[in-house]
Amino acid sequence: MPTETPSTTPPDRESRAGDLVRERLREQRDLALSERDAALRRLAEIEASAGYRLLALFWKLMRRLAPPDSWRGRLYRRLRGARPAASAPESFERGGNDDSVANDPWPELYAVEEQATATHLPAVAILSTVWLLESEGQRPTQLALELARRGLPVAFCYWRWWPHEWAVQDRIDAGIVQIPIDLVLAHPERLVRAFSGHRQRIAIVAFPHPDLFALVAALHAAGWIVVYDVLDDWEEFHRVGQAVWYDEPFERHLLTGADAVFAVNDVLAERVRELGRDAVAVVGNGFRPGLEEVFSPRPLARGEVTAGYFGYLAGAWFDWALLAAAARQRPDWRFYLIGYGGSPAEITLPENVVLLGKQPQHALAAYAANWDVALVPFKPERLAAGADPIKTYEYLAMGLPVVVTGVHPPPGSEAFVTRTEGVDGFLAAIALAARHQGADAKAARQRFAAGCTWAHRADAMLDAIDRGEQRVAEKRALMRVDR
Amino acid sequence: MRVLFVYKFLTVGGVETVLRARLDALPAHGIDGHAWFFHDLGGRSVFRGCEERIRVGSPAQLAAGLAGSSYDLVTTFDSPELFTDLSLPAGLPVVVECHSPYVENLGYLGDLRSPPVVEIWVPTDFQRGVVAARCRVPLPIEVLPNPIRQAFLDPVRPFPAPPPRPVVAWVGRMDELKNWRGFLELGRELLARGFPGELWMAGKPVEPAVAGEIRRLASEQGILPRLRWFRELPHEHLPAWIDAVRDSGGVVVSTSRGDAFGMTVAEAMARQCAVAAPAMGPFPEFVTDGETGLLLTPDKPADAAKRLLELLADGPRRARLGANARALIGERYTPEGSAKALVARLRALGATPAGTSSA
Repeated sequence: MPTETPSTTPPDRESRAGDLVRERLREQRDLALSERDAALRRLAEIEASAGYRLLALFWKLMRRLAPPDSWRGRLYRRLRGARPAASAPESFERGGNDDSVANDPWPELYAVEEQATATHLPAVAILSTVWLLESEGQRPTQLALELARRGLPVAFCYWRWWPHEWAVQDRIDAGIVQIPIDLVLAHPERLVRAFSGHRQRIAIVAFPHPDLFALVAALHAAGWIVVYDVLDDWEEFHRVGQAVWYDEPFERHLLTGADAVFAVNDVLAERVRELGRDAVAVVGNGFRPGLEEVFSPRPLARGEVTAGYFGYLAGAWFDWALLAAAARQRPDWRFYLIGYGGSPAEITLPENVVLLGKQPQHALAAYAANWDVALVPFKPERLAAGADPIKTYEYLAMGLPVVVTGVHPPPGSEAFVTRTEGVDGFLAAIALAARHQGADAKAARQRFAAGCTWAHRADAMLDAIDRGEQRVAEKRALMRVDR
Repeated sequence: MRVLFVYKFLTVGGVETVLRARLDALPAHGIDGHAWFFHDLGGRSVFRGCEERIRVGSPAQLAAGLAGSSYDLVTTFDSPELFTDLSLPAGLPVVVECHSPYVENLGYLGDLRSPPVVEIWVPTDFQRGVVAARCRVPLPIEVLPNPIRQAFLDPVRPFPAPPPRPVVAWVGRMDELKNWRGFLELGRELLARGFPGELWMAGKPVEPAVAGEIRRLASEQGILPRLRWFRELPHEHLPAWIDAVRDSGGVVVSTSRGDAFGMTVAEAMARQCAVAAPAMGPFPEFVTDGETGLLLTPDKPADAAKRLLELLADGPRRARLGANARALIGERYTPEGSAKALVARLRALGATPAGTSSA
């Protein structure tokens, strides 16, 4: 019988349980914060609208012409039949809190720099469109978390739409500092000079925003290994009205100069080549182990076949029409959709399509445990073709067979992920996949997924950089000083 | 003997590299050299390893430092503050070193008086003419060759991981005089004629808004996709950077409209890299067309592009130009050769040898 160490096991267990609780609380907080930010964004949009500004101007004029205690003010209230407000705000204008000072991230950057004593490890900066929200689980977030787990300090630079939006600086102990990109652009030297004691510094640029031009130039000159991580077909996003900032010449510029370029799938790698960059490596998306665990069951009503989807529901790529048509043709089947970021708009969904809204990540496996088949019903268009949905890996890790439209199965997953098109093909593929429920089939799917964790993806990237692939060796040689 | 070199700005530029080479070379001749700057604009990297011999301080602080100091001579690089903002200790000889290519900064030459100025030093015959035209007092004007830092003269070895395509490169301060726009225009002409390579720039904009201007213009001219910009490249990395250009099968070009010496071109030549420079100013003094580089007609980007493409297509010719260029620079502008010339001038001015200073 193996010798146990009873003195350490219970605390370990407690520690793991504590971590789990902490993770869930953090997830709940992230959800609440993202809802708050969405509300603030809506508020700011309203306040920026012409109607609101006109109204505000009117009230400002009224306060001047008819102050509350003046005879005009009293007359006005009498005419309106209103009572004087008990504690009316002095101003409609927001503000008063100097957020820019209260949230100044630079001391935290220096703190992370100081605590990163393992200077033989690289330091990493990630320039991301998304926030470090585990609940949304995007690639830059997952890479940041994975790299930090290995002891690499990470400056996670996130895009924000409004200056009052701040990420909660709660991962300093883990070695991650979160900095709004606009602040980095205002003070590029602070990031560029950071972590200068490290053997190597890697900057991962996750979107080709032209405003990054001077920052990228400074990172190059300071010896950072500049990686362009091609996550999406940005030009196509631009074409459909998103990524309004996109500028193809700048993306080509980024591709030319990048020391390494990674693309999430072959479609994007091919596009990179078309844009003039020959050297590119495919590093697919991945999943976070543990996501497949069911903590507390979430029973759902089952259909003859039960299928489901979780993730972003943006109309730009989510094929609502396909899903609605398929559900109408199979009224005895049930389709569950978990997600956010879009709605069916003018498409009426039949009753056997159930929208469950955004759910915490730790609950996804419990919902998916009710499904026979997992879906990625994306439009058969260029935008989707460039995607490598993270959910595909997560579905497989949960042991589910997957049916996709619009996107491609990850390389090697063709036995578990069926790509199809059209309503008939979609239904046939779901019906066929639903029959593959055996334990062996499930285990095979999970085995495949086990090789696709974010740790594997981080390994692939770091190993390529370590080997000096693409233009990394060139950059190192440029920065060599041996004279 | 103790000499203090005074310059207004501590930045990454030609004067700083000259000063660095002097600080490296003078101790071997028994001369203790120091440098003083009035404003730190981010050039400390040039002096890595000898930081204790540079100081940054206001003219008033310099005046306080000079009073009672043991300096035997002060030289000033285009920094009239030395005469206008402080009173120099009586009897301290001053040499004016005129290296500025910015004619708007040379007005002070008309106000020079002797004493305290005993002599003017310039790096080229071209600059001698510029200075002579502006001086009212008949001061001796001596050409003192600029030293190229030893790092550029070190043995040339193959660059271990050359860029995948030939590179046409530009180095310098990103202002109007150095004419970074001219490089973008040249790039446009090169690409229009089928140049398959990359365009590299190393430099820092003097004005922050220039960064956006570079992107806008590069985009308009269709060269942004081939442009690689190294913003504020530390000077210590420049030799390797030039090696990469050379071994890519590329060329270093200058589009400058004003140089007193042409340090970036000379440094590229020292690394055996083929160069192309405007046929004006100081460049013809060390670039002989077809022998040590190409001399291009200024502001004729289409003509320049044609000649550059011929050179880019002719490896043996590039190699020959590069070898000739390196030999010439090694002959004329070594730190040791420049130091000897400098020491000779210092001694000619009556300074005493080390250890016998009056201080």
